[in-house]
Amino acid sequence: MDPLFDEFLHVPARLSIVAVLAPADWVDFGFLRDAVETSDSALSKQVSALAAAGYVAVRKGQDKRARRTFVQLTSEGRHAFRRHAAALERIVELARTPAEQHPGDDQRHAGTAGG
Amino acid sequence: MDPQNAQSSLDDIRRLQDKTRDAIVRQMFPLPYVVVSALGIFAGFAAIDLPRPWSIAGTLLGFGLYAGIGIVYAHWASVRRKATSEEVGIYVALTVGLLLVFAVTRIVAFFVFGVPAHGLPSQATVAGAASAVTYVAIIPLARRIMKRIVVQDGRRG
Repeated sequence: MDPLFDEFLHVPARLSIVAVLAPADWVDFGFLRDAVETSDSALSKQVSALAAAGYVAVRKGQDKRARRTFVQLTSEGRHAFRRHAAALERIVELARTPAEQHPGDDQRHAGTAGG
Repeated sequence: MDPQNAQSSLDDIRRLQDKTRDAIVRQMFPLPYVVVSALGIFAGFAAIDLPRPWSIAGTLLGFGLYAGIGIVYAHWASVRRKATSEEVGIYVALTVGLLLVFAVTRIVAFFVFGVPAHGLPSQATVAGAASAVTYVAIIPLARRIMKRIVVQDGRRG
C-alpha cells in the first residue's frame, strides 16, 4: 500500500466531506450536507470523527436569529487530503504505465484516468 | 487498492470540489446584490451635487449601502473563502473604473450636453446613473473573470 494512502480518510463519507471543504475556508453545515447528499446525523457523526482526528475544525455561529455551524479543513487535514489524493493518483498512474508499454493489453484502466 | 476504485475516488473528489467552487462563484455577484449595489453607486455619486449637508449624507448613505450589502452577503454566504490577491485586484480595478466613468461622464455631460452642476438632472446625477449602468453591464464579465480565477486557484491548490 502507498505510504501516503490514508485509510481513515478513504472512507467515502469522510473523503467526500474533505473534498467539499478543500477549495474553501469555512463551509456551512447545510451546504456540506447537501453537497455530500447525506443526513444531518450521518454528517454530524463523520464531522465529529474528522474533528477528533484533527482534520477539521467546527465553529458555531454567533447569530441569535439563525444558529449556523461552519466547518473548516485544518492545515493538518488539508495536508492529509493532498497526500491521500497524491496516493490515489499514483495508484492510477502505476496501473496505466504497463498498459501504455503494451498497447495490446486491456486498456480499461487507461480509459478512466483522464478525469 | 484497485486502480479503478482509486480513479473513481479521484473523480468524486473533483466533482465535489467543483460543487464548492460553483457555490463560491455563484455567491460572488448574485442579482439582488448587484441591484442594491448599483442603487448605492447611483445614490452615492448623484448626491455629490446636492447642497450640504445633504451631499455628505447622501454620499455616505449611497456608498454605505454599496459596502453594507457586500458585508451582509459575505456574512450570509454558505461557502466562505479569503479573496486572493487577483480577486482583490478585480475589485480595485472595478472601483477605479467606476470612478473614471463618473469623472468622464460628468465632464461630457457639462461640455457636450450643457448639464448644470446643480438642479435636476445635475452633472453628478447623469454621471452617477452612467456609473451604475456601467457597473451592472460589467458584472457578467467580472463574474467570468472571477470564475476563471477560482478554477485556476483550485488547480494550483
